[in-house]
Amino acid sequence: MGGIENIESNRIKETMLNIITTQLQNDGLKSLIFSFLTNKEEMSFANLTILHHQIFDRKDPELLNLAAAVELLVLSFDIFDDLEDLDNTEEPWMKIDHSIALNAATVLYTLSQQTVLSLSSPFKHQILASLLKYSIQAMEGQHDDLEDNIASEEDCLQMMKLKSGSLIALASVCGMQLAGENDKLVEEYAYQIGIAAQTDNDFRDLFNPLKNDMKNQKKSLAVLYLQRNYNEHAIDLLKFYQSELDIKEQFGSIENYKQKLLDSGVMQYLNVVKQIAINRASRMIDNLNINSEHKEFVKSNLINKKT
Amino acid sequence: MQEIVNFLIENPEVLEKVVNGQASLLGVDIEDVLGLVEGIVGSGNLKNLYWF
Repeated sequence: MGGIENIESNRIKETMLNIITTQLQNDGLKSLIFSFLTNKEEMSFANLTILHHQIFDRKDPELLNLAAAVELLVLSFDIFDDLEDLDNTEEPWMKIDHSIALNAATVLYTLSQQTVLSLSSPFKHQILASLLKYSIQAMEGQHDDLEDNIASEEDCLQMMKLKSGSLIALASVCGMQLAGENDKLVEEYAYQIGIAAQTDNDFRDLFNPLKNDMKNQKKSLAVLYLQRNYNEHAIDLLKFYQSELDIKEQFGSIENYKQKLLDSGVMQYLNVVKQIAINRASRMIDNLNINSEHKEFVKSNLINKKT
Repeated sequence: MQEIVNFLIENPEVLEKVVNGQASLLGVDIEDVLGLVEGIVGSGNLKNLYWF
């Protein structure tokens, strides 16, 4: 494909390690952060940055540095999120003193900004402004989620847009800006992809054997739908989530549980929200001012992997 | 969207009319109708996708 080069994840990881090595003096802190990166293989957000640079037919020599900065930032958010939710206990930062993990995450967050500021691009201040803008939006979404400050479907969609969509927008817009471009559509479809991805997460959470969020009836699209009590199946599911029983004890089999989800309507509802968000994003991508080959490339990376 | 999805699940004959272009849905953006229909019709497939 013309203008699109596949950059391997290990090159992004090497750049991240290089940033840490050159910017930090403290060997213990360096080793700790290296250990956070050991098992990191997916570089989804860095790839979004690279993709949104290349579709505008640019090849900035510092693209990899920007992509690494984005991935460092997202890693810091992952750590903050796990520390705040006390989640993902198998991650290396959850197995150490949380105050040390918190400090390391703050270092990653700061290193990311420092890396953007050290770019020689004339657009670096514009990129840094976007990085800060979307970071704050993601933090605002996280605040509402942590506070469980959600009363309606609209509130929930707004939280999903901020918490999940903002980071997708951040990665995408920064790559575009390094190409000297600025199309508002990129931000808009990134928000829709964020909603689709978060809806997927909500659905997967219905199968989480620990079901803590479901047990506490933490507000999600699924919980809000079930709480409308449209039918007896929804009421049964809400009672189950508050019980101490697991899926097999309550329903006899996973298949029966899935049927219950379908009978309650929650499965259809989540799929509708996801499909509408995907279709909206797809229409926006069609309206981007890039060639049709690149439009299909964006869709195959952002949408087809989500469906 | 909660109300409209529940309504269409409870009234599959209306969903069929929407699919055939014989009925329209008030309050739903015309561009979102396709996603609404695809979401409901395609949700059966999700049953096979998700495991622990």
